[in-house]
Amino acid sequence: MDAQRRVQRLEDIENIRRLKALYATHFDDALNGGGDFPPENLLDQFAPDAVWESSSFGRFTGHDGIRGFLEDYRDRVSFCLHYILGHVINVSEDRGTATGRWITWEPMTLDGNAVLLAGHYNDEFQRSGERWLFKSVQLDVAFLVPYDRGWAEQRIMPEWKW
Amino acid sequence: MTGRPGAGDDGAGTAELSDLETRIAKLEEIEAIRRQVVRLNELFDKPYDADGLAGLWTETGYLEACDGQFSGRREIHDFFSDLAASFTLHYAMNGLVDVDPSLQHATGHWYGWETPVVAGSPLIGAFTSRQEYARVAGEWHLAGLWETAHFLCAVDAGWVREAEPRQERSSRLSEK
Repeated sequence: MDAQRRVQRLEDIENIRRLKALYATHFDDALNGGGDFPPENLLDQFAPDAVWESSSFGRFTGHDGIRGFLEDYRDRVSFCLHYILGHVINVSEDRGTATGRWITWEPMTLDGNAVLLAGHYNDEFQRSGERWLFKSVQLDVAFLVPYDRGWAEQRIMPEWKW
Repeated sequence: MTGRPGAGDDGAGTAELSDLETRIAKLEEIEAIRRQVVRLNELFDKPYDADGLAGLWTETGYLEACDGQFSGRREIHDFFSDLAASFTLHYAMNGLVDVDPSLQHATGHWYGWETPVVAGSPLIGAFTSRQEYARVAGEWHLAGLWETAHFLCAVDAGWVREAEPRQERSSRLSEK
């Protein structure tokens, strides 16, 4: 691989890392009152036919589907912060697509209660010109519990319904 | 820059090399700033090494934190000297670093998580931080840091009261 391609690969990884950090910032700003809602700056990060899915929340397709999910989320979550770390990003040889894995935890106020969510993101990306966009976001929830109850007994609180 | 294989002496080759060097330099500076942010958090966890922390700012650097505003290294040093935690760990995540084309200025945004012990009680805190950096004598320093605290609560209490709901914040704003 020549120097140009090696540098380009590092730039792609950096740009995808930024994309995921902005995902958290735009999501949280919109929910916490620091940004516009619906968060068009967040939706703009997704390809038109992108998918956001989690077995704990459902499957949402395209900007309208994801916007609807965010509206439901705002109705129940009055505060949240997405902490995202452990980046592993792989860019395809032709730079057309990429994948990323992250671990996350999210303190939130859900239906008026302190709730802690932890899990893993497995994301796919596609390049549009020189921009990277989410093709899919998949969140595997490891635990989702009331903060005062903890995650030792049950990983997903039995009353959970979305 | 002579003798680079394949570059020859033509202007295009030189321009290509210059472009590549600029792009590599930007990636290097992003990495250097990340290291400084790690250093910042390590000094928070001494806990609060005021000498070391003040030295991370420029001479005229600025800090907004804990409802206070501090200008210059002396005020920043005094602020950190007064912090009371006997133990803390700081986690910096979700880093966004933008380096100016001049490679002399940059901005950053970070999510923070902290675990201080204050007056014998364990707390957890969540905050976000907007930062500005300036390169002084080849080293990145903080020109400004603006911290937004989302909550700092007793471990056994949780954050619901402190991370006040949007609705309350909105109604409070509308009363003004």
